[in-house]
Amino acid sequence: MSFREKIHWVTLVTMAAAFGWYFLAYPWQVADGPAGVWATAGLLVPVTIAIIVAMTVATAFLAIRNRAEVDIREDERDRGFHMRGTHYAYYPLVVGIWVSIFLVFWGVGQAQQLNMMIATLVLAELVRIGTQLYLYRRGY
Amino acid sequence: MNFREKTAWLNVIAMVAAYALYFGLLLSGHPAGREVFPMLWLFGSIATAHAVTVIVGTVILSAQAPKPERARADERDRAIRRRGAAMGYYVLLVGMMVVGVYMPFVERGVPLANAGLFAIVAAELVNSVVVLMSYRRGWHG
Repeated sequence: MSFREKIHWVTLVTMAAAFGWYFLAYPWQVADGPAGVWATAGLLVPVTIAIIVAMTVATAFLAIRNRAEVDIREDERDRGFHMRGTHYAYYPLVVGIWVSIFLVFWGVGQAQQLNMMIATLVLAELVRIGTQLYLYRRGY
Repeated sequence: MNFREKTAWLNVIAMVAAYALYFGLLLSGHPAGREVFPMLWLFGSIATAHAVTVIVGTVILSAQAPKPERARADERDRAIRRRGAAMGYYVLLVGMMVVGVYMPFVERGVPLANAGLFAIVAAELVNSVVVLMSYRRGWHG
């Protein structure tokens, strides 16, 4: 497995774990009130710190173990995977933002809207990274 | 200029015209910037006009184009489309963070919806402009 692929795996697992915890730990009983917005802010702080720390430690560890590959620039195939993954992730993002706009008119609370947007961002990023990993694995 | 490049021009021009009008009206104090029904009415009318323009324009361009140009998108066309969407993704990602993660703390209702629409329009515009520039500059993946 190449260095780049390992980094993608780390990103995928870190994001899935961090935001999985966020959505499980979120106090949904207060999601309809103003406290829900502050609960989101409060939970996003540890999530962001956890992602930064985990990514930094894992990338440093993998870079030390794969010194030969660290300085290799992205080749045509890597760029192709990157474009393809980003292309597929664009659509969930567009759909998510449309859904969020409709939720504004539906009278959904601010905190629920906020969580909907966060879920969309996370889903789009998981699609982007997941597509790239799929293409690396499949050997496209 | 081939058929796909012409449709890319059509998309860019129609989008700029339609949404410059919409957001221009909002900036000049149109009630669509504050109230739900004027917003739905104005946005609905402009989005419909935009869609009709693009559909009619594409049909006309398609009828005028020679048959080989209307063939299915080839590898280069697909690469250009992916490139456009990839660039649009980053614009939309930033827009989504501003609209979805920052703005709910300070705004609600129609201004939030309009900011979301602006993020989508900006991303789609970047997408179309990148497609157009790629054809113009002879980018081939």
